[in-house]
Amino acid sequence: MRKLEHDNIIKLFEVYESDNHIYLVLELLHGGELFDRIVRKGQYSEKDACVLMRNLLSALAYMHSKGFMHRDLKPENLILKDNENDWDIKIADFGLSTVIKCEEFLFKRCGTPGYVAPEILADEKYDEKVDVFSAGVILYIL
Amino acid sequence: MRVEKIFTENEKEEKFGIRLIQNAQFCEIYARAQDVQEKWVTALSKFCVLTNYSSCFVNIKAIGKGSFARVFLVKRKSDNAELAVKTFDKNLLNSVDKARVTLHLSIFVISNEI
Repeated sequence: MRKLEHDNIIKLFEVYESDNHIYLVLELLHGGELFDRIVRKGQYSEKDACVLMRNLLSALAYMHSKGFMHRDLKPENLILKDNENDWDIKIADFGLSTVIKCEEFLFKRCGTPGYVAPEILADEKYDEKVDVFSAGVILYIL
Repeated sequence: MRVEKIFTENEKEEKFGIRLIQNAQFCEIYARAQDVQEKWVTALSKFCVLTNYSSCFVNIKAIGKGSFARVFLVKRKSDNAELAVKTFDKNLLNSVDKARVTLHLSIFVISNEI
């Protein structure tokens, strides 16, 4: 994940481990979750949604090209940079992300109901396109 | 792999060592001067897990809570920079979650090795 450097992906600086805890040091973002922003705004304008989706898809294309997939994309995992605009998002929470070529995990059911692609629910083999499906659901919500 | 500085307080001669640890095995490397030791640790922190969290950061307040982790606003002691830190309590993780966090950490390491 630290190899991922993109304006729309949250930056991981360092990892610490102590006897009882694991710490991931991340960049600080002030805008809160996209989920809360949608609730506050009610509805996105076509223009705002358009810029947001461009950012999201650009970040997805980038991480897929580096061999990672997220597998749990949803508005709660997209963090806004600040309160100045409604489209500057960063992908966060890579807890379920995985390396695309890692065969054994590609059958595992994961994600959040409502955002998850049909091939995961059907227990079929899937690939990084499951992220694109989730992105589509997010666009629909906007 | 973890990296930590070696502290040598009681010896006559000051030494500037680092210790690399993996699966209960470790190796120690000594630098000629403190700034070299610092450079090594900085460079290795991009690939390794560090161990001295509480000496580097002060937690200010909790800003978020996920299913497995809590997120804190913290201040880095060295330059007062504000950052976000996602914290997992190892004792609260069940085996499935533990596997997930391990996976998370291994992705972190793998991603830097590519």
